[in-house]
Amino acid sequence: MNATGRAASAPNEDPGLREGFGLLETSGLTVRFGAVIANQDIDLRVEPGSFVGLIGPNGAGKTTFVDALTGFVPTSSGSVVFDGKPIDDLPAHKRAQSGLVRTFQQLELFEDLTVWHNLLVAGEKPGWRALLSDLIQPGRRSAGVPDAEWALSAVGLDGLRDALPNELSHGQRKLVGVARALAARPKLLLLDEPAAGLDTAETRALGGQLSTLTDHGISVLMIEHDMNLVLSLCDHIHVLDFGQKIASGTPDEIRSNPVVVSAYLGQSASSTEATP
Amino acid sequence: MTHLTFLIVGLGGGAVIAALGLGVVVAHRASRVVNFAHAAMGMYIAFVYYELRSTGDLVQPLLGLPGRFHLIDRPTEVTAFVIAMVVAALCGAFIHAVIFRPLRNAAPLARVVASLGLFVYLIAIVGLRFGSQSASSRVLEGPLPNELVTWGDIRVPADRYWLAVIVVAAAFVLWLGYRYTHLGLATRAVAGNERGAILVGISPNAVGLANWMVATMLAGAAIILAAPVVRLDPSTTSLLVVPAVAAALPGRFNSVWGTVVIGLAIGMVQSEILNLQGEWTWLPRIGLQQGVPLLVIVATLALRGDVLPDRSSTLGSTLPQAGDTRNVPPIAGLVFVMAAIAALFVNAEWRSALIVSAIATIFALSVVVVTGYVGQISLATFAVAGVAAFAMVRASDDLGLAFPLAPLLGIAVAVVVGYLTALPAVRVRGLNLAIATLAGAVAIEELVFKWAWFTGGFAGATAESPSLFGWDLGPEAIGAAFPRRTFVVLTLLLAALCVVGVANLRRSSTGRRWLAVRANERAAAAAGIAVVRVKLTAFAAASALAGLAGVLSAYSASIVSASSFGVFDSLVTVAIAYLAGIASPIGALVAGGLAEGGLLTALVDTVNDDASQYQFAVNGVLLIVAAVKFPQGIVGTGTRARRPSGFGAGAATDQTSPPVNHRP
Ligand SMILES: Nc1ncnc2c1ncn2[C@@H]1O[C@H](COP(=O)(O)OP(=O)(O)O)[C@@H](O)[C@H]1O
Ligand SMILES: [Mg+2]
Repeated sequence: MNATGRAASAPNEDPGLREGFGLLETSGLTVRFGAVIANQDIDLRVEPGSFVGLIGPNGAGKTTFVDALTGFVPTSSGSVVFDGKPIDDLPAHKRAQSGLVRTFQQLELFEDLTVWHNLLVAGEKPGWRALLSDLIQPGRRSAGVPDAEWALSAVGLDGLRDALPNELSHGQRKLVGVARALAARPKLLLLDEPAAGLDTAETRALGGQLSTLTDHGISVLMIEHDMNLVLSLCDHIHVLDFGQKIASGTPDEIRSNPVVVSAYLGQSASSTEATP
Repeated sequence: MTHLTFLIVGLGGGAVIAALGLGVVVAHRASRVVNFAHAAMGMYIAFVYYELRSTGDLVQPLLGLPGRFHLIDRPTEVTAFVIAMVVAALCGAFIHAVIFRPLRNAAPLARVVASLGLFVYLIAIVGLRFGSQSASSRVLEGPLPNELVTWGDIRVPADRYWLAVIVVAAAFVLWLGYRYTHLGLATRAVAGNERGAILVGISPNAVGLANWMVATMLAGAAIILAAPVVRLDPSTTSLLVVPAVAAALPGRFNSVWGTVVIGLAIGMVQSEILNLQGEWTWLPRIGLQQGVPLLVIVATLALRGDVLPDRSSTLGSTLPQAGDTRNVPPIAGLVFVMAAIAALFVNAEWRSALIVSAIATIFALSVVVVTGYVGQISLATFAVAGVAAFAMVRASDDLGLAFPLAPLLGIAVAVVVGYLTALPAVRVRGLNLAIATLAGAVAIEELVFKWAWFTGGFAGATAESPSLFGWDLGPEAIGAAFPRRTFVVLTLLLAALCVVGVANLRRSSTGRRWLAVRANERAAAAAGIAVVRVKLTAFAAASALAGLAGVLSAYSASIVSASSFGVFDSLVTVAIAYLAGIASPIGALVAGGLAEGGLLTALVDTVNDDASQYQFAVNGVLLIVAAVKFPQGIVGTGTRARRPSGFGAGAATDQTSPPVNHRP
């Protein structure tokens, strides 16, 4: 599958969607760590083709929500339907294979592989015979090549193909993280603070690259603290605080929502001034 | 009443396990390391004690210095015990200062390897110092009274009660010590937060030193007192670390009373199993007892651990870089051609060395796959190889299968068994995995290799010489024609093909998935990689390699014996593979050359007839040095280090990820 293939397989051909599901739909999603309730009764819906923001103060439970969606922490109750199918019983890698692909807040690249192989390994779908054919024909062209090539150019890193992750700047490493997720052919891309640690220019460049994803049929759910980025990219925003969803709406509605302003935006605005 | 008798008899063995477990706990509190050499340390101290008692000679452990000197004529039990404890304290201090203090922030694998190095070294040094005497278990007169004590119907040697009382007393003293003494409080402070402890003026070094001295003295006292009960010989006694670790594991290597209770219970259950084997004749006659610690370990680990490590687990591979392997096939081809040509001309001794090195290369490749490429660890390599060897003999003797089929079936059985020993890898990692596979290896040794039908019992198992279409491929020949050149070249060829195969896997999609899992299991799962399947596939591939090595060593020895597939050999293989370069097929070639009985041995032998007996001990030393100083191994050293901070810089334990600019 390549870029055109992606665009051609329009998401709303899926039967589940015609029955009125979103691409992703959670109901009553709850995650507990001992006594801490990190996510409480979260109902959230992502429409196909949309770019959705998820904001909230630190510790609000945003990363936990993505962990729960992608199978990295067990949910205590509630359910997740993705692409028309319940995925609660699927392990993490099956969820990724079904098109629900995430990035990490902390840099989690494969440090022993070059940038190119970081992407390639995400695009390959091995069968049981891979071991035998790899044994004899190691140089064979990998099935992941088209996706990896597309992902590499989507984030503008073609020049760094053969670099190792530890030779890259922080911003470049973040981009490789995004590219690796793209190479795994996502239907819904979950970005966990992609702009954290980037400077203004890098953030603007990232914004430009992310804005093209929906044109390729990839929906996005983005956790981000940079409100300029969130407000400019997202067509819908959900707000979490203390593990609960306290608001959702269009960027304009969120900007003017008094609950959100008191819980989050006000605080964010003042501290952004404090830490330029 | 016999049940009670056996349970009480089991107190003896249980007390040893508990006492060793306590020492494991003490060392772990001091250095956050599970010391696989703990029972080996006790074994050495016990040899010191019994040698003092019989000859008055003090046997010192440092290679290169005179092995023994006369200290005192016929010391009493008390004198000998005191001297042995002084030696133990000094050894503990030395081990802490030279090995575990430098490694306190190193990756788990480096610490496992260092303790394996110590294990290998201690067994080797006892072998050197005591020669053949060390191997036979002697009848020892221990310091404890052992006349029978009658209590109702129950007649049990007194030392069983004594051992139990002493271990409970020792635990009580430790518990009080940790709770109320300055040293104990300091230990707990350091274990909780090393930096904080430094700030309030506690020196972690002094604390570590004192704890290591205590741990070594505990180990020595345990084995000295229990030697009449558990036998004293270098490797069996050293492997008592497996039940000791089983006793300490449920309390996370931190609980004094938990360790004592579980240790005593393991000993009592083992003794009762012996009783039941007498009563219930349908129970197999083999070492079911050794299954008990395995059961404890597997049950504990099954309740713990997750299929994916959690967010807080510190990540980042601290293994040497797994370089590109494009140039490996030509190098392997060249080495093969040179070795094969040499095989045509050299004498029998060198031909045997070539066989040994080729087989050791295949063993090392198995370690390269599992540890070097996937970041897992298995200490069951030789157990798996032994299963293949015996299964091959059964296949040809009982099923009448001919040459290529019998070894292939043997390898297939090894893959299945290797897969089973690897199942804990689904949920546990690092140190716990090392423990689980070690317990698995001991269980295979005791359950499978002592199963007379499988291993041929007294008659032994004889591998039928391989031949294809009437062409004799085996090593058998008369006199100096043994081993036959055909077999040498065949073995070399198979080793070279395995090197090329592993190199090919490394540079294809399989290898990319392996390295992705090795680098970061969470990120691998997020990229759609089936982490569990990748790990198990790697274990299966490694088991196939071990199985091949096993059938080849069966052919080369022709008589297959369980003693050639011991746990000790697995430890040495991991150790030498690490030393040579654990993340490179070329490293495996080098490891083959370094193996005991291989090319290096032959070379040393031609120079000096009795130098090669030091090889094991030297390997142990090199291994410790490698773990502490040269994590890249022989092959990797000199190539560019992947992380500027290197291996020992705390990447695995205390550091969190690089600072990320958080905006609140
Ligand atoms: N594995 C865990 N164990 C215990 N508590 C956790 C774990 N992961 C997250 N938490 C807690 O859950 C809450 C939400 O954290 P997180 O999802 O990281 O918030 P955010 O991403 O919005 O900053 C925090 O209080 C955090 O301490
Ligand atoms: Mg977060």
